[in-house]
Amino acid sequence: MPEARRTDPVRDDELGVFVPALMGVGVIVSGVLVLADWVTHLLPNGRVRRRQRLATGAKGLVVSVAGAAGVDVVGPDYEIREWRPRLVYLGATVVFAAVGGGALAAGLIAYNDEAGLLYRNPWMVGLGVGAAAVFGLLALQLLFFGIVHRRSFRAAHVLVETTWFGRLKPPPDAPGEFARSLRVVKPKGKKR
Amino acid sequence: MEYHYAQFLDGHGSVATDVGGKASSLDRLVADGFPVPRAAVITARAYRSFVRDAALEPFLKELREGPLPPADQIVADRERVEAEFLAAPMAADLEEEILGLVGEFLAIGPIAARSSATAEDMVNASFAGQYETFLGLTAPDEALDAVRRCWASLWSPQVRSYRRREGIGEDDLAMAVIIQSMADASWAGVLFTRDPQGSALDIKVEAVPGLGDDLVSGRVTPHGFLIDRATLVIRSRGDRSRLGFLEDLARVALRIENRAGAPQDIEWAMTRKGIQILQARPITVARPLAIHDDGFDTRVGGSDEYTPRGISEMLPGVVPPLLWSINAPMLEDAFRSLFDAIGVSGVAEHRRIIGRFRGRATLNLSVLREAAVSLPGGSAAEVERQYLGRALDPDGDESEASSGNLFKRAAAAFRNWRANRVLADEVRLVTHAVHGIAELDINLAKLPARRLLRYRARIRDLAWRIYATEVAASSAAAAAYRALEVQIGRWLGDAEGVLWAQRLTAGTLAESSVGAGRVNRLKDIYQRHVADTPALQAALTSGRPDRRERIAALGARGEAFLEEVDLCVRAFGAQAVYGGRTWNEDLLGVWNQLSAFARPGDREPGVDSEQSLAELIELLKQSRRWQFKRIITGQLIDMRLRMLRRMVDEATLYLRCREEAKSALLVLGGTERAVIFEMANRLTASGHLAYSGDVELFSDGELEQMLLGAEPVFSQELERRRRALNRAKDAGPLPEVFQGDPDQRTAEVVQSGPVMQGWAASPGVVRAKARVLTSLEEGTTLEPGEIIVAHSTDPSWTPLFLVAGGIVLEEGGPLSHAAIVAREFGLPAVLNVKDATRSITTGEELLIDGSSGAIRRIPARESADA
Repeated sequence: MPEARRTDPVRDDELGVFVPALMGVGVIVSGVLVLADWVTHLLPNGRVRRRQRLATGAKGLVVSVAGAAGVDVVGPDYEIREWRPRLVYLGATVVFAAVGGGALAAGLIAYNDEAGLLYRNPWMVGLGVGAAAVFGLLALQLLFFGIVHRRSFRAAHVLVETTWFGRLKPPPDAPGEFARSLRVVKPKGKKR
Repeated sequence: MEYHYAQFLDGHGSVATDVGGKASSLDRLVADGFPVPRAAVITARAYRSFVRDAALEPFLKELREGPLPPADQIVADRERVEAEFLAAPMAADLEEEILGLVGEFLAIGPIAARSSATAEDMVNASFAGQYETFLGLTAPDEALDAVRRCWASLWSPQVRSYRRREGIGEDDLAMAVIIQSMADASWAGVLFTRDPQGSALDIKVEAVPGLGDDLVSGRVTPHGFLIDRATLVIRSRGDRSRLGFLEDLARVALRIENRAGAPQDIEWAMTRKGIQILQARPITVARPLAIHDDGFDTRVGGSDEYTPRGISEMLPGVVPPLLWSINAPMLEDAFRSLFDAIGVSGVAEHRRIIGRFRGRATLNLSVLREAAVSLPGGSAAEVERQYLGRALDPDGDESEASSGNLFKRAAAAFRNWRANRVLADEVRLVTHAVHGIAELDINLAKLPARRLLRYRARIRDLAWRIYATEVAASSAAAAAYRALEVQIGRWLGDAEGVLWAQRLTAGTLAESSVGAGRVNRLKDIYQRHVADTPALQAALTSGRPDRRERIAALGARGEAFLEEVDLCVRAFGAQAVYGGRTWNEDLLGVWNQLSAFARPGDREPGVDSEQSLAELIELLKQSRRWQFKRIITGQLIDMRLRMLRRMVDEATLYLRCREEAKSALLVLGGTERAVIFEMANRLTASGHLAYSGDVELFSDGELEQMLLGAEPVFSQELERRRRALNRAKDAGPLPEVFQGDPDQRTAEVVQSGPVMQGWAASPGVVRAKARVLTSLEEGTTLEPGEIIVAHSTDPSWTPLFLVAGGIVLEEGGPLSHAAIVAREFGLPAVLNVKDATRSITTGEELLIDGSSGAIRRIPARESADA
């Protein structure tokens, strides 16, 4: 009796779709993974924010332990942002000014384009002017930061330290470095 | 009314020397939220004042120094003592205060007066039933008489006899009296959280209808019940239909035991308000103490198997009472937290996970096995591999592995993911915090006692957290490492899987760890200042006590070197393991370490994990089958390699987390050690301690109480603990796995042949002389290139690894500290070698092969020829 031939759907590809389907899935998954890697690489802020939160938590623990012994400990605000390089502000100024100018121009062109669907539509001018104003103001602000940079007044510092005008500042990485960033200020005394 | 001689037991803390052992214990119960009837205590100060004002001291001196009465005179003697106390005049202010206090309670209902002596409810002498208790008092005068009788019971002939038998001193004894509202009990009785006469796995309950005094006095035969501690299944010889509360009672009792850390003898009552706890004290009659038991050992009994493996890295050798009482609850809690997180908390209910036998720390292997089996895909054999280095029953391995359906597996995987997700963050958080605390440089000598204790409590809180992190990280590391082994095993075979997993995870020793961090810093200093300066080298290796002066005499180069060493000591000087000394205490360790760098060595570089990964990837890629699968599945990027990298990263991450958590614990140990030394110094100055080194013989609680003014633990008791610890040290290590009493186990056969076999932990071959080390302190005798033979190591041993030529240990598995560090340092290492310290002798020549796990003992003749 002849031995029954064993089939292998991959090698034989009897269905004719199995291999392409498998390969297709592989290609799609590979693509997704590459994209995910790229996004993760481009957005490191999440990691920095997490490290900032951990440094703040660690400082809280040190302050609590030291407080039990009547010692006050202070350290920097680890969740604060810092000034970006001057060139970044100047570069951003150009970009924002261009976007604002572009928005205004586009609005005006659409308003005056007799052949266009938005001819004499006041909304387009309004939108263009609004966008130009917003981007223009931001560009001015960025230009100001680019020129005066760190020599700016207190309110500007606060703005940079608390908004995206500033960049996230990584907290001390090594435990020893973190420890050195803390300082004992004075022993707690009884208040009179 | 303001009381000078009384205080309410409201859970705000009381000192046993003021309120007696029983009241102090009741106060703790209140503080822990257990249901306790309202109570106050007439303090020991009242007793002392009464004795002084009534001039009873000569009479008491006669009782202290005179002989005990013969048996037929006991009743008369007792009546004589009572008569003296009843007839003695009482100061008006004291009497007024006692009447005022009992009046407050009598306004609500009948009261009880219970003795609470300052020498009572001790770990090994409970004085159970020796002192008087009066129930159902309804009139102030009656209550006042009861108080006097309670005082008198301190000197009854049976109590004097008990004290002398137990060797308890009689100087400055005092008696406080608890005034307590009577519980309107429908049932009352006593409960032992471990049956003193039967199985230690049973709770014993005795109950009578109404008040419990008939039971205590033996006037009625109680209903008896035995309750299984694990399942709370009730067995009884009486009618239990009306005692539906027994299970709840057992739960409360186990919680009390858990808080107290020792089996408890509990008086209870069932009232309209529910279960009320009248008192709780340690059981002292469960069994006579074993010769090695200092009073802190786990009670023997039950069917659970214990192993010292895996825990001895954290708590090495014989653990004195102080270290045990500090660490054991934290470790126990850490395991329970982990079990909670992964959803297997049920297996550990009413069972201990951490045990102590012959003074040595152990893990409950049975609980760990059951926890593993409860997890889908887990098996007892995996736990045994992790802790013992091998499965005890290799044949039963796969069949034991629990499967679970897809949903259960997914749920378990999700729980594990959730538990592990925050692990690295938590390790980072605590590591940073610990280093911040270590650099605080607080002047402990200036802190008042309560502030010192508060500071220590905060440190302890952090230590609890780190212990939990360390246990979780160890578990995650073990799982990730095993997954890596299995995955590579699928591609290349099991043996290759084991080998590659080792190589790929080398280099996980954290730079911030105690050993590596400070040793690397010293090495750097050595390279910059000493390596090229022969004069400095000579002064350093001279081994003379005036080494520092000789170095300073070398001029600017010497001064600069010393300055850097001092800076390094300042940075790392406070770090220690609990068992070891810090550099701040003893600089010899620094000089020894620096001298070791001066000795020539020809060690091969350690395993480079990055290079190993590249090699493995190359090996896999060369396979045509591998390439074919990649093409056929359309992998533009090789997802299997990506998965491999991810698995390696994960295993490395968790191993690093574990090492860092362990190191953080050790650094914090240095801080806690400083506090304990400060406490010891104060207790020595106040006369509570004869010698500050005795501090390790006390429990944590005893130390705290003494610092707050409590009486010292009796010297006979301390002596007994010391003797038991010394005997435990002499008794040698525990068996690898044991059930019940480790002392009952037959001695295992010692491996003594020319070739010994162990677990291959770090590749490489070395032939050198053996140095058997039983403790870290003996490490100073280690000569460069010698092979360390020891029971186990912990991170504090890391400096020795730089000097050694190889490692042979009786304990350890793939994830033990020794294995990781040995691979990092390129040291051949064989672990899990049974009886290595007993069969190998110092000076004997060994040839160890870290790739095969074989150890060849070179005969003396051959050695001499060579």
